[in-house]
Amino acid sequence: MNHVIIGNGIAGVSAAQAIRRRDDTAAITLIGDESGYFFSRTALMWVFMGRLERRDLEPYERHYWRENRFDVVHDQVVTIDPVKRELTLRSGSTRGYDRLLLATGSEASRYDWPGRELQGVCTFTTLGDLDRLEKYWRSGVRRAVVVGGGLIGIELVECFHHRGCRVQFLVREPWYFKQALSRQEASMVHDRIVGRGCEVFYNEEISRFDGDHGRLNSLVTRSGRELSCDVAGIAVGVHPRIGLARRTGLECNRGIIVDRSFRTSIPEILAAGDCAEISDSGRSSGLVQSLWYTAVKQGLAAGRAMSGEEIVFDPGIPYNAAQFFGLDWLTVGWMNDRKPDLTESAWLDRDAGRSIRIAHDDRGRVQGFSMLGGRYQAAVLQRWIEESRPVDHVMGRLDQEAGFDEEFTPAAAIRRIQ
Amino acid sequence: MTAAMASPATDRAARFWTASLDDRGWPAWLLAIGLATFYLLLYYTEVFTRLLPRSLDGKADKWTLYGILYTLAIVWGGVNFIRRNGRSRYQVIRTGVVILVQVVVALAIPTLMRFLGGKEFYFSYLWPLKIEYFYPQVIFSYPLPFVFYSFLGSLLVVPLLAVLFGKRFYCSWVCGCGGLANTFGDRWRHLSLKTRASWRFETVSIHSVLVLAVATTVIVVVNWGIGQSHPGLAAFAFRVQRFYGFVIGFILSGLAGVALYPLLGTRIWCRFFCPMAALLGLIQKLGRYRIATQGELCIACGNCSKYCEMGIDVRSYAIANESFTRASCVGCGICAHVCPRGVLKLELIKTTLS
Repeated sequence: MNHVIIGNGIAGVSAAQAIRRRDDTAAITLIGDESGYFFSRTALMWVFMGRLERRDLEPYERHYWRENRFDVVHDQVVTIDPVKRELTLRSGSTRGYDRLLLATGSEASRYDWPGRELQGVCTFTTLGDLDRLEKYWRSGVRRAVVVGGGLIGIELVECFHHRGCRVQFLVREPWYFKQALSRQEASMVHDRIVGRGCEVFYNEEISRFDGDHGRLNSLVTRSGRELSCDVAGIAVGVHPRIGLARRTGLECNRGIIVDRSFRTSIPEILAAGDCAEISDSGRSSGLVQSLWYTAVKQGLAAGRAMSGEEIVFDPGIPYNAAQFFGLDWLTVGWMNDRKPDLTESAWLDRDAGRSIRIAHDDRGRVQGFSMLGGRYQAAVLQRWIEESRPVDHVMGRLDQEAGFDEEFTPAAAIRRIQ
Repeated sequence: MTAAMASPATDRAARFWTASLDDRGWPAWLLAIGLATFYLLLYYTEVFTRLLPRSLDGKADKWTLYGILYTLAIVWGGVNFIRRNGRSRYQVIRTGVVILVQVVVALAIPTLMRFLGGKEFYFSYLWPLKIEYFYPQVIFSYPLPFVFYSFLGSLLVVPLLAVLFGKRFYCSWVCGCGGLANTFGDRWRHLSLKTRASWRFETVSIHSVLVLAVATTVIVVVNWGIGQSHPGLAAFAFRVQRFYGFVIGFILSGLAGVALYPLLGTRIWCRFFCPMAALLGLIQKLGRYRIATQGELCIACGNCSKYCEMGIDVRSYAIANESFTRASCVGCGICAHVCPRGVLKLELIKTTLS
């Protein structure tokens, strides 16, 4: 069996590993266009901050691929011929496949702002973006603006601040990361940002970029605010990378449409990870998950499907984790924004920088957690949701059973605020 | 905030210096050569003896001066480390204890003992690290309580504490070798060798030194008993002692141990050659200490592996969601500290057998 995987990111690599675990003899090829070897995209920010080198980004030593007989190809797939089951690569070579997995991931979104092609306007998801930012810094950056109040946005703020320039942060919503954080939680993040000497502006959207000789020197917001800047980091979202899938004639919506077994509209072609849209037939909008964690799950499941296993993918209880300028955040389950019939209770210890927000149903059974400023075991929080535990049960056992802070961390003096 | 207003030129200059010093640039090589020269001068010449005032004759020697310099390096490095990592309670407490043990137990008490006319004794160093404390001719020259301290310490208390808390209680909280590594040497921790080849070498070298330490001790003890009537044995024992003291004590522990900080990281002695580390490493695998992982939160960024001073590929355990106890892990806690997603935690499991 000849498996070919387009995309050597975490979804593609997880699938490859899942296949190899089940089939020691199968041929497995990984084709990546961005880098020859799988690297941790989430770690780009630390390379920019000088805490990691590019080589450190690779989770596996180079001999790992050879030893596990993964054929690693650094090239770009230009066309897929589903009839001949053949790929044509940019280098001109062709590859046959028995089963094909598209794991092409996401790409950064941009909108049609005037001036967006000016030198200095940059997104931050790829190695190429990292190269571009390094190039800008070599010619000197004194002022940077970050656009987009989400997870990549806050990382850019931290990155730019670390490299030593004035940083101004533009957030479209009334508070940071409104899609996931409460106003209270966002205010703690706000304090962090401001405490480090950066500025944040809320309810602001980009109107246009202005420059001189092709080089960015300022931007203007919809409200008329003008900010001078040498670099503008754009972090307004990502969308599935589906150009190749579209050209091949695969059914696509926002992502490549797949069923719960990751099958696309063409036989023997699967898709998984950020690029996939899991759709139960007949629905207008399927599930697109653009996180590292979900890409791992989908990749592993898709690999098992490619090995011939009957898979009905269950996303499970959702979770995500991030760090806002050093402030730990973990969310598990569903909060009020996802399930409006849930009630939320909140606890706060402002001095310790710790906030707990729990969503529960009308019988007091926990359905979701948003934990800021402490470390917890996601698996325990998930278990409590699965077991429909009441809020009191959870709060009485939170530190002992779910706590994951380092030793000697003082207990937080949390008080109920909601 | 003034740093943010720095011009690109000064920013580059500042980054060049630290970047070169921390990443094997010419300042790092210069420092390594300087440290090596310092150790060679210390062992082979009396340059440092001449720096001492005459009045201290007999009460202090160049080794006292070395101890003071060593302690100053730990205090200075430790204070800087605490300033950079103050938000971690574990790191602050651990470093505070390291500084305290060095100043009080490894410097003040032994120096005081000499000043009061006696022989110095280092309560924070035990066999097999301080191999002399099992040499009968050395330990029996101390009052009986010291003999008990040495034997019970090495054979009972230290192993017991390693089972209960992991070898970290010694290697990251008490020992001056680790103390210097985690304070003065902290900026070079990422230079630890990460390759599979270095791990293979490590498993052979460190257990060889342990075997050598035990063998040397046995020979010295036997010689003390029957050497008088066996001149051949006596001569052999003398050569073995001298070989151990020179190769292990000077070359590997002193010279290579510290001079290589700026080039190969700070725990070269601890990881490749320390017999105490070898012994406690084996013991801790039977004990309560481990690093717990929650792999579902891991993003494979690599900060943990990069900053592990023992060259352990912590990331591989995190990705695989495997909690682990590696014999070489000294429990510094930095991997858990630098992890951006709360994947790692140093902990003591409830049962003693994993």
